[in-house]
Amino acid sequence: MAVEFTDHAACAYISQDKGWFEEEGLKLTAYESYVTGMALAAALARGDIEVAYICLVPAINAYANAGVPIKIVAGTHKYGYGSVVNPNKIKTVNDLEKPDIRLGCVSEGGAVDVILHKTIDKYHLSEDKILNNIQRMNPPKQVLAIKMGQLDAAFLPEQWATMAEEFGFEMLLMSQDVWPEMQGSVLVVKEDLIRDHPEVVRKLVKVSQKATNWENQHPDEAAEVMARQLQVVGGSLFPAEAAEVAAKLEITSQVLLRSMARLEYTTAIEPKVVQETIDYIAKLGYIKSSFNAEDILDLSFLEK
Amino acid sequence: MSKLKRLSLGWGILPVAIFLAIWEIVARLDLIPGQFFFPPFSIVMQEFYYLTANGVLGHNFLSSLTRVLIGFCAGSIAGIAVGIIMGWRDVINKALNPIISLLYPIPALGWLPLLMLWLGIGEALPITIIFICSFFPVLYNTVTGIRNVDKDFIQVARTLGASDTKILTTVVLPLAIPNIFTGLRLESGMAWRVIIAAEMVAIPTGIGALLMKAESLIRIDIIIVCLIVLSVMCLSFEKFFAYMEAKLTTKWR
Repeated sequence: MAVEFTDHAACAYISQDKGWFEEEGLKLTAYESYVTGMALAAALARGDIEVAYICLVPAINAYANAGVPIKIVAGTHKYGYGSVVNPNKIKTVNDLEKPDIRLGCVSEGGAVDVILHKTIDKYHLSEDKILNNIQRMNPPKQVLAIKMGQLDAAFLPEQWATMAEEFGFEMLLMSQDVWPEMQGSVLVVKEDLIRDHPEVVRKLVKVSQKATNWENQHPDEAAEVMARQLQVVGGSLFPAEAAEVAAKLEITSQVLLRSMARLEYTTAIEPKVVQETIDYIAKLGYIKSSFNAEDILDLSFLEK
Repeated sequence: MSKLKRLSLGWGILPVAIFLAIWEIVARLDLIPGQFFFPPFSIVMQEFYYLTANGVLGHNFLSSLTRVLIGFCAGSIAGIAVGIIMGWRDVINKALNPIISLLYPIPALGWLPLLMLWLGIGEALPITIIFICSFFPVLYNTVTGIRNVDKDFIQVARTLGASDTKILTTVVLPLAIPNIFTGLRLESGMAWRVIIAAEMVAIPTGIGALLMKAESLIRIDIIIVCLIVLSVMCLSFEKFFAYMEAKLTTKWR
């Protein structure tokens, strides 16, 4: 199993913390954490991973570009991305176009990058002015750059966007402002796991639903669990790229509580929204052509 | 074209054709696990056509080419100019040589973190990197070329009444040209290698940036297209300078 190193994968971290995977008889042979969805998608493509809690956009990339035989069996949350800015330099969205503004974003193909493009579209910003000013770096490096005063604006996934607020940045736009109903992360499994061990997939979905319900009912405790998982237990979970930065940046339960309140945790997933996402990233040229959302979705486990 | 030349060309192309055929067969037969990590050559060419047709490759290629040309020309001209002065004037050579000797071994990409802080992310950054990449080796080769000119030739010219300027332009520089061209030839290919690396790390446009974009989108075909472009450009630049070197220096060799 692999998860992203964010509170997007809260249901996985909480299930791990509570021992709910073991309770259901699911013995994980590996539990790996990745800084970005793109890194996780590459691991999926290499064949290392059978189950992943991953943002929808890199999951689609892995399926369409690398031909990874995966199915989305559940959602984990909606929204969970945002643009944070230095309020002394940026007052409005149009200020992002200014030539002296230093912008940060993850690599192309990440969900945050797609939000960046949606922002450009929605606010009729100049693509050239924005994209030529972008410095591509992963979220922890962006937060560190913000702390060092090297960025004026950053497009980040949660919890990194909320962490940036700790350094005086302000949320300019959240994903729900830019893309209502945006699907955040999803639970994906390899097709052969569905074929050979459908009961395992059923249990995974069940545990995800249980954890999602629990975190919605116990937000304070969920934030504490996440802080513990991301910061303390992280010794073995921290991806190498994040370890150095994480040592300098404290991921507190207060930050996580604020961050997690910005996401709508739900395992429900709308095929229409998935189709919109596929069509949009095809329009951006990130996948060769659009395809039917039903090809990547298997929501039968969710319905049962 | 003579029969011998055609035969020689055929022998040059044959290994490449065999290599491409093996590549295509191995990928088509899925002999390497994970077909998408090893696309057939025909798929790569299809993507090459697609990227060319939609202008993505052209746009990024032109960005890289412009940076290489500006950085390389500026670095080479500066390297040759300073090299001539250092090679021709012993006192200047003695003054600058310790500094050059200290700076020359630093790999061009080693300057990148410093330049990112000094110059920020912009066009000046890759151009400066290419400038540094070209300047020191061309300078070094120019100094070596000039200082290796047989002193007897200079003495003869001086005896015949030639001025210093005349000796430099008609005796020393022509004899140093093979060395200068060796530096230019080697660094013209190196400039491409360096620009790709710089664009991969810090610049949002260019072939290196396209490589990084392809990596994050898991587009192996685009990665291979970029590598082919890089290889062709390194080779073309080196061949161009090898041709110019042969053309201009034959009579002195």
